[in-house]
Amino acid sequence: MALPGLDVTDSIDSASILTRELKPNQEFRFEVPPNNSITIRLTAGTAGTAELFGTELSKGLPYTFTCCKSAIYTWTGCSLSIEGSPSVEYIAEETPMSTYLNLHIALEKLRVGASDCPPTAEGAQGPRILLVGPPDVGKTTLCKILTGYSIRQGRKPMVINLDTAGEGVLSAPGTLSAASFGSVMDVEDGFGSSPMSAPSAIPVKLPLVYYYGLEMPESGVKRYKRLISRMAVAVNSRLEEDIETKNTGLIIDTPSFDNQTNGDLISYIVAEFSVTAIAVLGSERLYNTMLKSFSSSSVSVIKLPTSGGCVDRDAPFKKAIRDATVKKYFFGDEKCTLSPYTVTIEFDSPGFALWEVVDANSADKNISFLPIGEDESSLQSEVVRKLAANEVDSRFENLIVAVLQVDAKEAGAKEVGESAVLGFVFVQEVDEKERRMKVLSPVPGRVPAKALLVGKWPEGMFLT
Amino acid sequence: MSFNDDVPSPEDLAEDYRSSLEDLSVNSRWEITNLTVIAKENIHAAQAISKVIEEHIQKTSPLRKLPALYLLDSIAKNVGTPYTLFFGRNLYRTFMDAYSLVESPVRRKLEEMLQTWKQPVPGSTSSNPLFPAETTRKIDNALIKARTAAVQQQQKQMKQDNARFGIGQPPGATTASPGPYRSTPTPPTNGHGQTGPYNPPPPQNFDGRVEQPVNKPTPQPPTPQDPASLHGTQRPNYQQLAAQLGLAAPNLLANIPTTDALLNDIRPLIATTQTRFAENPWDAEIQKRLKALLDLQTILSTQQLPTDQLSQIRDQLSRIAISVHVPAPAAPQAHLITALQSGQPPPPTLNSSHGPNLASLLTKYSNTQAPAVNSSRNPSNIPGSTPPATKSLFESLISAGLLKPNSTPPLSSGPKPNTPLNASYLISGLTKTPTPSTIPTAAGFSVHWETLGVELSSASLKTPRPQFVSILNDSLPNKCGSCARRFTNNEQGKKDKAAHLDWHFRVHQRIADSSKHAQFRSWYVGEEEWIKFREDEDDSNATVAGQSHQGTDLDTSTQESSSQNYIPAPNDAALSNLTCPVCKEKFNTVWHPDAEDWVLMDAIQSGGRIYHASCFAEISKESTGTASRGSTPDNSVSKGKRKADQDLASIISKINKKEK
Repeated sequence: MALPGLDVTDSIDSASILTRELKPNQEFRFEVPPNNSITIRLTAGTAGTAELFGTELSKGLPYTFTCCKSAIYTWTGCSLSIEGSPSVEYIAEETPMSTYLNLHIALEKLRVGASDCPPTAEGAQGPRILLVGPPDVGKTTLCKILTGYSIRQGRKPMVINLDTAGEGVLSAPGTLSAASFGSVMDVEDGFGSSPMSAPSAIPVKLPLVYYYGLEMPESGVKRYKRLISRMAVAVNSRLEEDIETKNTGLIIDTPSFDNQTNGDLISYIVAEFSVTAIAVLGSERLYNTMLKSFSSSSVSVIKLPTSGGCVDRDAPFKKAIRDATVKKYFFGDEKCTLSPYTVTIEFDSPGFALWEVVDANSADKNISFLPIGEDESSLQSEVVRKLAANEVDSRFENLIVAVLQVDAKEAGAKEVGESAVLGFVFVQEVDEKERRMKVLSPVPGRVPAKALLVGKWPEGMFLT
Repeated sequence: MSFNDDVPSPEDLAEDYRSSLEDLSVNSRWEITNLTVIAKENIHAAQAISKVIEEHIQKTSPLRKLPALYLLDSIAKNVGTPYTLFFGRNLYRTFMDAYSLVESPVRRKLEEMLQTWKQPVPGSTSSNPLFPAETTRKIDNALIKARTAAVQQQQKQMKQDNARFGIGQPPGATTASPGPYRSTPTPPTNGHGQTGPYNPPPPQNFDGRVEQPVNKPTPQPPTPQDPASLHGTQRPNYQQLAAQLGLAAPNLLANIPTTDALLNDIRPLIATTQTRFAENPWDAEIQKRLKALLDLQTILSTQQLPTDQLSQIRDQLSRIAISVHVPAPAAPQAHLITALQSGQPPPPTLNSSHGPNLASLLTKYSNTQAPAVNSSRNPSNIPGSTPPATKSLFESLISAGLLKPNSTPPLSSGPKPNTPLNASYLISGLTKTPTPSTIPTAAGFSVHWETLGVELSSASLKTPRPQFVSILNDSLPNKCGSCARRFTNNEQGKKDKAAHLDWHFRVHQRIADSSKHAQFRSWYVGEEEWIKFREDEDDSNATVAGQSHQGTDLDTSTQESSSQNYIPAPNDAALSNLTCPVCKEKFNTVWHPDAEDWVLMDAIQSGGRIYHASCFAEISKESTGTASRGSTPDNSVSKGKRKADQDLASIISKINKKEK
């Protein structure tokens, strides 16, 4: 008679609790597979402090991690107790943390200067730093660290995520988002969670979200740029009114830029967001390109070492993280379970308009026989395409669809192409005959009669 | 939930029942009784309901399995057939699947419940056991095998202590043992309150057969009043306090004392005592107490104590905590939240008359005392007092020879210098922590930024500058214990932190409340709202601003035209299509930016129905015959308006509570 779990629970107290003593400036790195979870505590009696990517741990509180490759760093030395079995765990001595701290202090110095200026003056603008580099060099991690540190000093940084391939910040993958961080981040959950009807022990952050719907910026440069411009306008307007955030400045995370062709896009971002510093991680070549490009401007370009803890995350792992992010959007997590609603959307109702993101590769076919001298952009004007009701078929099943802020009736391609997002629904079933589809909606009630936009990223997934 | 009109189909009922089950998160007598009554009233849907319950037990998280099984038990005992038949079919699987996933204290409860299943239902005329013997025997056999395995495991690990003392049993679990209430449609609550835990009816012996739970002698847990009365103090019991504050649910999870939890408990006490000590350096009583606490902390952080002794220490500590925290009149919320967040559990199950007291515990361990690091942290701003209840601890410590008020510290085997009990000793204990931030300083931390030699250049960033760590951590030294948010050490910082702790308290309360309702992700906001949005409106600022808003909004909303009226859109999908009873038109459901919720615009609620505010004004006008609805409003109008205002107020307060 096998009783799963019986033997384990009786021995869990002593057998599977590891204790790890960290000396000052050491880092405890661990990996947890998607189907497993571990609980880490900063031992209550320990004298030191510990932080996970810039956000401090509270003593004695349990932090549960699943599906992550993460690290806990201590400046002072500390003792950690780990319950459960991480697939990888070790203590690292060499970390770039002192450089990252220097970077933070250098930024903080600029912020102090900005705070001393009168609010309307040019100098009141805090540093705006752009983080660039190849994949898996720790851009998002550094973004978290810098955000966590500035929050710890009572600042309100504006975090801007332009990385559509990653897991998204406060939103689904495939989105661009911006949010001001005025309160601590979530140790377990990185940037934390967007607002929900339930109260949250970690304050939620309110993001401004745009849905790009493709993995790489290159696949739809035109629309990517338009979204960036649109977001930059909103961010700049916000900063004009929000002096604390203005003094603190921006921390911008980007997709993986590692080659020449992205130079144009980086310049575009720098211009739109008035970036004042570019930090290049892990690529000497990109660093030198940046140095050359911005030698004549006032933008500081700095090179940062990458952490030895950065590991290549394989495709299935990244996919698992993306799926988990979408699942969390609809269903919440262990701390707060959310109940999405299954809603039917009729294709023939007047409030229905489904648009599709046009990807450059498919558009290329149409423009391959262009007369020389014809501007590409004038022809490839369509960045999104309205779908007729009979075009909606089962290929949209198991995808997320963005519900935009613009109304279904009035929106043209331009509005749809650059509208912010109200939320996401998940297509469960498309009934072509009955001309309707069943979707999972995060909010009870009808799905508002807003334009819907479906993309190719994130890929289909199984939610339940 | 009304089932009065027509008979709903079993599917609908089951669906309703399923959603009600989702709310059953704690062992609430009221909820279980309620669900039992529903099951009884809808006996025609018994098969569907029992299936739903079985599925729920299967799917729900281990923490919620016990209440769900208690519900099964309650229905089986109070309603009987056909539920017993349906449950009986899968009983083995239902029970064993749950059993294998829950923790050992819950297992014990399940075993107790199983014992009652083998007997006739108390008060029933039938002498048949609740469930057929072959069903329960099958479970029994499996349990015996499991227990044998567990015992072997335990022997291996020398963990008999746990079993002997029955650690982790929630207090009061058997205190309120209501009589069987089979014959009454709604079980009497007989003064236990609606929030009390549900207890399976105890076995009664009709044929003189005494069937005891076989595996352990259970010490009789004290009633909630016991610990207080034992020590001759009338201080409100901690558990009662927690219950009054609606915080019983989190406490259920914190029943097993751990060294960490105790250290967490001690820390705020030390902090409080330190504050007192700083205020009255010559008060011998405070000195004694601080020292005893520091010593206790040392012992805890250096020794592995058995769980039963830990729970006794906790018992003592919680009593001190109550007496330290409760009498302070100012800002009680902040104090309570401090105590609650530190994992302060309710008094443990052990009666003081049973086990050794703290003094003897300490005596046992004082001889083997290892070197110690006093890691007291975070002096907080909580004022305390010296209540009589703490004396018992110190007197017992002193009488045990462990603490001599005027002698060297008892932990003489450690390398800690044997300093007489004075201020410098205590301070030296404090300064052992590496971060100087733990010393309360009135002055703020100042950094001369312009002199810092770090620039935004690759070369400058390379140089390690260890001194920057203290800029990072000590600019705001006053850290919140539960979320590590930092505050300044000055008056403003203390105020902010107190407000922040209040916020934690409110959120804890709301989290406890919210588990009863379905929650969902909100829509994101549009660009314009986002630009206007400010994150800093949390905590006290939000409350203050919110209250003033609330006042003005209420004032204006009564004046404003009816189109400004709105009520939160009903979450119930069935209600989303409802129409105004007057004009038969649908309501306009829109996203209300201020309420951050979907609302029905131009709507007010009166007498359980929702009207268009304008329609409602019309019919009220007609019914009273007055031309101006403002001049002499009849009863129903003012009632309706009041209701609408209340709804509005609740929306506003909801927004304000919501951390932005």
